[in-house]
Amino acid sequence: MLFAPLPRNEAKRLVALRSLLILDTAPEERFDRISAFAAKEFDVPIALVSLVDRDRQWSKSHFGLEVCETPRDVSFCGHAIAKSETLVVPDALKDPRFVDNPLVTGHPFVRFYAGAGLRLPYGQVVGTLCIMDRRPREFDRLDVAILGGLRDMVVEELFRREEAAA
Amino acid sequence: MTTPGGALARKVLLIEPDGLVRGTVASVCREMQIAHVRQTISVASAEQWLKTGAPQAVLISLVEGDAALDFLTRLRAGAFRCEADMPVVAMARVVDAALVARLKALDVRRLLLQPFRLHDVIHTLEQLWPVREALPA
Repeated sequence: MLFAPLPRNEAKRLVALRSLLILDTAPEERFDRISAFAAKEFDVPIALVSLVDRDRQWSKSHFGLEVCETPRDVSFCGHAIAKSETLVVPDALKDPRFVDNPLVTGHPFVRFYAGAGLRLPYGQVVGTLCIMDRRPREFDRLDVAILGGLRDMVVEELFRREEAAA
Repeated sequence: MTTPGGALARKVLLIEPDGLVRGTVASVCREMQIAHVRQTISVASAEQWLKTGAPQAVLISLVEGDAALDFLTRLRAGAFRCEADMPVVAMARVVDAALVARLKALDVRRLLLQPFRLHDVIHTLEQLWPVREALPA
């Protein structure tokens, strides 16, 4: 398993994430609706609104998963936030970064992953809207665009919260 | 999948109260360079925009019932400053024979039954314009 590289702006990224004041808050329908919509749109069992903290990945919304937190070092989203484009892993068992990842070899037995970065207007990527499946899949340009469109809705909601709190 | 140059000059008027559907369709159309989507939440706000705007297609939710059908009737009658015969796609949760007959009379190009996948909406929008636009003059 290959560990995800830290984003170059990791310190600023963590400041931006924590300033959203959303970590460890209760589930909210407006985020749950987006993750449920994504799961249905792509016909996948798992969809998350996940935020990548210093040592953990925490999910504000976790459709299809009981747990809302995993260690960052096994997190797929840890890899996704280091990329400028959507991370697509068609088959984790054929990807050296994930082939022996405990989320692949054990529960929830992830084979397919796609994660679109939650990029804040000032550049930091604080997490992802991601989908996972237990079988390998292809993911075309339209799929990437739709996941990105739903991701934009998540970012909008993150800032609606900020505006409401201001 | 992307249409040739000038695709974003094409405007689609989207009348849909659901912000998640509305925002995502607009975002995907922009990203895929299919069209510029003007988002409105109701027939009333669409009519307001049509005082100055001129779309080349309409994608309308029928959730407002008769108000939506009356809007399409006026559109086909040339009540707005856009082309009266532009392509129209309707979205509905329930349909019956009477509604289908009325939509046919209004020359609605396609009826999307909800819940639908966004993939279907995007594919439908992509197919609204004839292939001849992709051919050299």
